[in-house]
Order: sequence, then structure tokens, then C-alpha cells
Amino acid sequence: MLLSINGIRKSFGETQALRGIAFDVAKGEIVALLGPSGCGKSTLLGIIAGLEEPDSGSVIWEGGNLAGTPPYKRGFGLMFQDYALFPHKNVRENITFGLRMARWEQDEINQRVAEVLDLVGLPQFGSRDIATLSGGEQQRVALARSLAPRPHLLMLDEPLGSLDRALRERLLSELREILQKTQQTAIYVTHDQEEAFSLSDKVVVMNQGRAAQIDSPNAIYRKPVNAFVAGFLGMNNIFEGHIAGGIIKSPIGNLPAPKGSTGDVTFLIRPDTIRLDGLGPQHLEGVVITRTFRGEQCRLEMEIQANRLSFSLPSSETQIPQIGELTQIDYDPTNTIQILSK
Amino acid sequence: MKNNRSLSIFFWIVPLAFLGIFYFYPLGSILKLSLARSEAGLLTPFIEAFTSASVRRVVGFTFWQALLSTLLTLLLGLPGAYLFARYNFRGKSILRAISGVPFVMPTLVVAAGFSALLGPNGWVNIGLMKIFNLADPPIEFLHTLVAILAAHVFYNTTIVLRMVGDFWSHLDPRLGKAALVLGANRWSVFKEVSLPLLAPVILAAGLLVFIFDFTSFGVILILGGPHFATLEVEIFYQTISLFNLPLAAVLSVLQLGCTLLMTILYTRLSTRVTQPLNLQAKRHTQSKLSTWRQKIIATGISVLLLIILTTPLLALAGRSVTSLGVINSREGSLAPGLTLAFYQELGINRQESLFYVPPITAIGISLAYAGATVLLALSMGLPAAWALARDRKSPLNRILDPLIMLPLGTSAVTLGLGFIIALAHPPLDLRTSPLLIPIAHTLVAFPFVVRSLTPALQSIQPRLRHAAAVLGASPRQVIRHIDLPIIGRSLLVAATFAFTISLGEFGATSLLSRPEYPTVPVVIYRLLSRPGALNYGQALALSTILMIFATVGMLAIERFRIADVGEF
Repeated sequence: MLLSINGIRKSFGETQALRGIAFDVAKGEIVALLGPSGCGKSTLLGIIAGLEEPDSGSVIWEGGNLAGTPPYKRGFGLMFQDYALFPHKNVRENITFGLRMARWEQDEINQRVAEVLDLVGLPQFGSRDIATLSGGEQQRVALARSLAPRPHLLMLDEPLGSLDRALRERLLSELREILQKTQQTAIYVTHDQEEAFSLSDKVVVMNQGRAAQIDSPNAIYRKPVNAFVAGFLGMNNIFEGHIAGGIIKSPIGNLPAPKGSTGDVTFLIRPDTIRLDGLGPQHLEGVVITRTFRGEQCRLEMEIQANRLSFSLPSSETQIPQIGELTQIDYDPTNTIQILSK
Repeated sequence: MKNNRSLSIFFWIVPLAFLGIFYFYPLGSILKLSLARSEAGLLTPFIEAFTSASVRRVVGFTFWQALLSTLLTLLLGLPGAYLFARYNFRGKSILRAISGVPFVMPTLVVAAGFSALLGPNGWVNIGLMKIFNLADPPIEFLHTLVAILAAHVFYNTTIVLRMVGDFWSHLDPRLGKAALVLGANRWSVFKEVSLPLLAPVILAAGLLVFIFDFTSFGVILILGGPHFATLEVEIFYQTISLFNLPLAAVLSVLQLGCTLLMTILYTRLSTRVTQPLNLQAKRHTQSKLSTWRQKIIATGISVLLLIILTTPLLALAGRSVTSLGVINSREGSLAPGLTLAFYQELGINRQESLFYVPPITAIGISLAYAGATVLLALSMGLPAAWALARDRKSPLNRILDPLIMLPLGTSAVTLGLGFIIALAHPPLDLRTSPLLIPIAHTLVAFPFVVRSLTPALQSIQPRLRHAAAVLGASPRQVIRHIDLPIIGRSLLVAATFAFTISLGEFGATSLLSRPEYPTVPVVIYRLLSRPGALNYGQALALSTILMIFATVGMLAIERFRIADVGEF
């Protein structure tokens, strides 16, 4: 394994930022650290980069422990949130900084600067002042600066966080292309599941300083392991129930239970598999209480025996029920009801 | 728009007339006098002055001591600035407050403080004499270059601490981290990132310190003694002792030219400091002391600062209530030990001479002058600040804004000399006017008054009033709850500035004060230059009283000022 994070713990006074997080990164892999703000993502990047020391646990790089190796000897790249571009240097000087520190030859430096500026789509920007750049341009310069010394590992801390939505989407696809083209091993920190899913080979969902789930984007979306992950992905239909004889007794009624589970369980009803086509095989009935139009999809909330259940329908659906309407929904228990770990 | 401009001009009339009569006219008179003998050419008087070896020595020494003082101040101030900028630790706010005390101390108090600490009758020498049974004080401090440098460092360290520290505390620490990750070691980070970003503010602070050291007067007059004359002291001697006004005027013009150049350079630099650098809020840039190394270094810097910044003043206060040996006076004798005798003596007129008053009356005189200064400075400063706050970018204000800062860069002794030359005969004979000294003090205080009022006046934007109005405040309530509280606080700050500056002012006063109406600093100077333990004790007692006034004033300013990043 190229990089192994082993049981890292870190506290700041009373608050425990990291509580024994562990995961691996393989060569060429893009790993996303996904979690709400304050879950310790940036702290972890600081520890991997060597800017901060863990209270316990280790960072293993190609089999060797990095403890005691200062950041400037690790050969990693880190792209900061808000970029931290040097305001007293122009674009070119920002990019050459890491190359000069690594004592590259002058013609190598020239060639590399041209290369990375090309890569990020700013070929003519070398002599521009940092203060004259737009947010998106700053982001590209920051990326070029961290890519230039060919880091063994590139870490990106919420690189699209402060940009507006349209720009974010464009830069996201560019970023994916650049990272793939250069086969860059990377750790990508974000709170945005869309970014994490579309960019990474592997997602580490973080919660309160621990890894809640580590898996491919697809697997995480299809099978969130616990209530936190499901909730973070926007799946809020989480209920407590008791399984006996193939039936879940729950606040929203008796439902068919998936095989292999018994006793008290927490389960999820996936909002994205519910239909209104009357084809069953199972039904639930309730009164629609909210209806939110969200572009491609329409989000509905329905009340079933004083509990709320939310689901999405394609906006193209012709018969979306009105608020107050008594509605019957259809679902297939095998892909709709998922048992979560506590 | 046109209406706006004429209103601005209206606001400017009084302050500009004041500056014209009492600043530019006297300076013009100095210039005229210095050129009076220049039939052979404009520069003749200056060339003549420079052929004199003593003038060359004075000029050289002025630069030399200012340069040394500035470097020493930076040497002490920069580590302190780093500590203040990057770390949060217990006692930081107290240390910061203490570091501001020297800046407001009258020069006479500082000189007396260093004398009480390291002078022949100071604590250190007394202690060493006791311990090693010596007959003479082992440390020779008074009348040495070291004394001058020590006092200048004491004075100006806070400028470096505040200017550089404030700027540094807003610099994004991630820039350094980014450099570290890009392969720069700690030294390269400092050389490539921190230093270039800090260079303008370090230069600006250094230059300001240099200007203050260059024009320093009281400190050099008392601590340096007769061997160390700077331009400022030489002007004083030429005026008061030798009455060679033409040479004094030539020296003043030299002095003015130098400070003017430096002030212009300083203004240039400070605009560069305010360039946008994506400055961060402090909470993102400061951390707690975590490792032992950090804690030891922080403690070392703090203790050093504390020792340098407090011991002279503590020595002063302590020495003013301590009698060392038997002092014989007509009233009896004084035993060694704690005593209030020096303070009691202040009320007695020992000399019984016609032009001599009991020292205590000087306090009354100083307070009266200070009160008059407050009134004058506010009535000149408020309209000017108002006009500036209306539209800082207007062409008129862009010219006048730096103009009103000029008195800040003009030495007080030069001002005094200007008054002597220009205001001692018709059309304006103010020699005997009790207003002469408050006017001089007003000129010194004017830049501070305007600088503390303008930001507050500017901060009352229409939006603030609109917000209050929308929230249901009537126009009268808006004035009561928005305008007045904001202006009120800064008026208080401005008034305190004027008051404390006037109380401690010595440079101009030393030339202008009349023997029968001495101010407190003048009396301290007189007492210090006389022999005898009783005179010395009284000088320290008066200095202590002045120190208390200045400290209270500074605390009031710190308490009531609104802006976090102050404009100097």
C-alpha cells in the first residue's frame, strides 16, 4: 500500500478532532474524505502533510513511518481551502516556488511551468498578479502550483468550496480530467457528496473523527451502513423496528423484512425507489404534507401514522399528488428496505 | 456635489487659518531667518554651517544614534511582535497594555525613571555599592550613549510591537504552511514568504521609530548630558544659552528637511502596508503555546519586555518615596527609609526668589494649559475631521489630509523656535500671552486628535442611520443612540490625547515657558539639573505624579477607542 493511515487521534484541548481514523490509499487512487464541517477532515490533511502532529497513530508511506519527517521533506502537495497563494509573487513565481525549493534546473523549471499552466488552461497567465485573478483562476493557479513539483501525493482541501455552483461544476469535471490524465494519487476533502462521488475511486465518510464507512462511491450510495451515512447522503427515512416471523413491526406499520435479520433493528426506506405506478408489489398509504420542486426531481413528504416519510419523483411524472391528498405509494422491499447497523 | 465641496471648504477654514498662522508662518520665519545672510547664494548659510566641525558632528551623531536606536528597537520588538501575532497565552492582554505605557510617558518622566534605575543614585548602583561595599557607583550610565539608546528602545518598542504585530497577526499562516508543503524549510519560509510580506510594515515601523529617535529631545538633553548633542538639543542650546538664532534657524531647516523627507517616505510605505493581502481574522492565525520550546521562548521574550518596559517606571515610583541617607535642610533632617517628604517638599518654595514658585503650583499651571489645549485642539480638530470624514477621496481632502499630519513630523523644539522668531513682535506679539503654550501644544496634539476623530465620524454611514430608522428610531433617537455615542467616545479619546500630550510636552515648552509660569516638565528639568538629594527626590516625586496622569490617560484611551487597528 502506498499510504496507510493507522488509528490517528488528535485533540485540541477538550475537543477530540480525530478519534482513531484509519484507511489506505493505493498508488494512482483518488480517495475522497467526505463529511460535515468540523468532522476533522482538514486536521487529518495537516497531519498527513506533516504540518501537525497526531497525539497517537501513524502515517505510513511506502512502508516507512513518517513521524518526525518535516513537511518539506515529504514530497506531498497540499492545495488549501482559499488557496493560500503568495500575494507578493505573481502566477509564475507562485508556481516555480516548489520547483526552486526542490532545486530544479532553470530550463526544467521553465518547461514545467509552461506545462502546468497549459494543463490548467491558463497558458498566458504567467506574469499576472495574484490580486487580479478571479476565484476560478486562483483555483487553477493553486492547482498548478501544487501539481508542478510532481508530488507523490496531492491533497486537496475543499478546493471548490468557495466558488459558485456553475463554476464549480465546470471546474469539477476539469479537475477530474487533470487528475486522471496525470494519474495523480490524491486525497480530496469535501463536504459535498456530489464532488466526492464524481471524482474519487474510494470514499471515506467521516463522522466525529472516525471513518463511518469506506467503500467505492457506488457501494456507499447503494448501501449506506448506518444512520449517519444514510442521513448525510440525504436519506432521512430511518426508523426503529422489531423483526419477528419475516415482518418488521415499525411506527409506519408492518413491513416485509429482508432476510437474515431478527430482533430490534434500525432500517432505512430509500427515497429513490418509491413509485406511484400502482404496480406494487408493496404499498404504503399516507397524506402528502410537503411538496418541493427541485428541478429534475420533486421531493414529497407524506405523513404515515404521525411519522414522516420522504421520497423523490421525477418532475416529468404527470400525476404528482397535491398537498393534503391521500396517496398510495408503491415499492419493492428488496431494494427499498435496508437494515442499518447501529 | 458642488454644495458638498463648499461645505467642506467651510469646515476647513478655521483649522487651516490656525495652521497657517501658528505652524506655517513660524516655520516660514525660521526659513527666512536662516536665509537672511545668503547674499552670496541661497545655500551659503548651510554650506557655512557645514564647514563647522561641530555642526557636522552634531548632524552625524543625530543620524548615528537614531540608526542605532532603531536597530536595537527592532531587535527587541520583532520577536515580541511575532509572539503577539501568532500566539495566545495567559497575560497577553496585560503585557500588551503595559507595552503601551512608555509611548505616552513624557520624556522627562522617562529620563527621570532611567536615572532612578541606573543613575549614580539609582537602585542598581546603590544595590551594587551595598553588596560589594563600594565607595563610588560602579555603573556609569548617565551621560553615555547607552543611556540614550536604552531610553529610545524603552520608548519605541511598542511601535514595533503594535504596528508589526497587528499586521502579522492578520497574515494568513497558511501561506507559510503552503510553502512548507511545497518543500521550503523553516528558513526558506521566513526568507521567501514571511519576510517579503512583512518588509513594508517593518520598514514603516522602523522609519517611524527613526523619526522619533531623530527628533528626540528631553531624553538626550538629560540622559546624554552636554557631550551628546543632536540637532534638536543643539537648536535648544543655540537658542536658549547662546542666543544664536540664525544658526538655530539653519539647524531647524536642516532638521525640517530631513523629517519631511522621512515623513513622505513613511506615508508611501504605510499605504503599501494597507494593500489588500487577503488578511485574515485573528482567530484563524493565532494558536496556544503547545510545545516546551515555544513556552520557554515565549516566557523569555515576555520577561525581557516586562523588565525593559517597567523597571524604569517602577524604579522612579519607588525612589520617589525612599530616602537614602540623611538629608539636611533648613527644616531639619530626613532619616533613611520610606518617606513622603519629597512630596511634601513640593508645596514649599525653598528658593524664595522672585521668579520661583513652589513646585506644586506647576501642577496647577500644567493642568490649566492642558485644559486650554483640549478646548483648542478639539475646536480645530473636529471641523477638520468632519471635512475629512465626509469624503476622504475628494481632491481637496487628498491634499489636506497629509498636510495636517505635518506637525507630527516637526520637532517640538523647532516649533518653539518658530514661535520665538515669529510671534515675539508685531504684527503678532504673543510673548506674554498665556495662550502661547496651549497653542504650541495644540499643534503637537492636532494630528492625534484628527486621527482619532476621523474614523469614528466616517463609521457613521448613512446605512447605520437608515438601519436605525427602519428599526423604528425617530430622527432624534437616531442622534441620541447612534451619532452621539459613536462620536462621544472618540471625542473622549481625542480629548485625552490632547490632555496627556500637553501635560508631558517639553520640547516647545522648554523654549517658550516663562520663569514665573513653569509647567511640570520644566520644573522637573530644573530640579534634575540642580545638585542635592532633596532636589533629586522632588524631581522624582513630580515625575511620578506626571507618570500617574499619563497612565490614567492611556488607560482611558485604550478603554474608549473604537477601532482595532489604529491609525498612527
